[in-house]
Amino acid sequence: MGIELKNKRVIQKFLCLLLLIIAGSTGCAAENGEKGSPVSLTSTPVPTVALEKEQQLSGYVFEYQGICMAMDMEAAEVIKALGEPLSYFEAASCAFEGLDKIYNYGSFELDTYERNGKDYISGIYFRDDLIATKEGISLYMPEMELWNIYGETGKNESGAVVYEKDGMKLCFLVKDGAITSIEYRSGVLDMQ
Amino acid sequence: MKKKGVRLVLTMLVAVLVLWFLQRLLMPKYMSGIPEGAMIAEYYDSEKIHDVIFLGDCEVYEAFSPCYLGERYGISSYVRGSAQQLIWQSYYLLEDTLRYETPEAVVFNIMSLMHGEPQNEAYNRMTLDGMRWSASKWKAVQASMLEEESVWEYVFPLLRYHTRWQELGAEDVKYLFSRDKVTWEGYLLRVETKPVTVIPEPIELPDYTFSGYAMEYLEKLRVLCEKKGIELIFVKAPSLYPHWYEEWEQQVDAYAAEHGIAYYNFLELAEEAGIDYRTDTYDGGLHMNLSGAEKLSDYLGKKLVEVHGIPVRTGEETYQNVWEPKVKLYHEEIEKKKSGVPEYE
Repeated sequence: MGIELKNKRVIQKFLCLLLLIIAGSTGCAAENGEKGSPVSLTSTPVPTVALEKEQQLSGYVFEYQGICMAMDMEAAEVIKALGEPLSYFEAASCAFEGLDKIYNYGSFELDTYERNGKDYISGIYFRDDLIATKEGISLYMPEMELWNIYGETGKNESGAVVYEKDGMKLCFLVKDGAITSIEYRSGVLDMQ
Repeated sequence: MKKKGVRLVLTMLVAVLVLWFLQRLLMPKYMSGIPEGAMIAEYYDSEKIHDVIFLGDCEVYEAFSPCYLGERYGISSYVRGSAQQLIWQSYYLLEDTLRYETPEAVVFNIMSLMHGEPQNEAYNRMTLDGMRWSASKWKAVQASMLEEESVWEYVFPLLRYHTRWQELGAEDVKYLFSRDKVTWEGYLLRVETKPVTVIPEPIELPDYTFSGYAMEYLEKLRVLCEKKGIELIFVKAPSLYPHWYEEWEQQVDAYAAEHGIAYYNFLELAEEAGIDYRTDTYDGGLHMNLSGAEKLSDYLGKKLVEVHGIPVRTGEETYQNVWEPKVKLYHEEIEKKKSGVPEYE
């Protein structure tokens, strides 16, 4: 009698578990914001910020000829406003659909990634010292200026000084007392 | 009493079958759109008579064509490449391969040394889901997982893919129990042409030293080959982007020289191999198309036979029986693809 009862309980538990798994596979997760399928790459949240609403731009913002650019904002308006680039390069990923695009504007390079048919800014890389961050740092400035403006709170990531804000990164390389590289980088691609 | 026991077993059996069916249904089939995800599993259906095994990322499975090597040089080879294959995955794929056969040489594309840590779940899945279960797969999963991944999601993929129910399509039903072949012995055939017009300037890196983790696996790969009497050969495909830094080249040169490993850097050998970046790439310099892959295969095939002593199997019955039909189909596929390719504008 005791064994029969035990068997019944085992069967009940097993069926409950099965039902739970089946229920899970038919929709529970999709509704509660759980990570999506790794194949479709739909798990990465993509913020959308209108160009004209600067107050909504998040993280460290780069400004060039009155055009404000933030990481992960839609790129279409920015690219239109910047005009014809000096050169344009696109790279498909090894397997996934969608292109990573690189626009060269001489003094800086603007990188984008594609999600659901739209391009978003993934990075800005300084190429010369004719431009500066919004806070006033240019290439080849003495490193002291960096500490004065951004403080000494930057993290060291493999030798780069990295300031994080709202999920994006502003990265500097310092060599022989001078700033040799400045890069704005989206945190979204790190999360993939 | 006995009846209850039978009922219990039957219930469990049915439940396991249902779960297995759901898992098969929900796992991605990679038959269209992203064929790269189906590549690793295809190896298990091949005849294990390979003298050369290629390992590495997308650069390698677009750069060397085993059918061409077979037809032109009588070399029996297979490309166990996959998208963004990391070096620890290459190592465990070699371990996995050695369960079935021991090749004369392993050709490893060294681009993946640039990655020192797990990168991306989707790419992990495309390499690891296709591996058959073994201690090597277990270790490959452990080495590749990102923080947010769980080993149990690899053991029971249903736990990870159950959210795909919304994406299910006709392909999931059609390929529920069998898949089409997407490669030619691991080579992904592309016949389109998109010439190189511009390549971005390289950006400065904070540190050019390969990570300890990547070098640890390079050493493991070398030692495993040495232990099994396999010649390890390094290659760098002539892909122009992502940039291959001189500092990286020096580290590979030094390692290869220290251990007597042959290294063919096709960025430097591109001209000698006859690579024309106007005609030999399908995506502006990132990957080779058929024309580029056959030129590289021609160059390397000659070296494999003349310098590395890889056996020429032409005329051997087993070899002929396996390779002749493959090569015939390969040519038919090329013709089919070429007839459907629009000219690049």
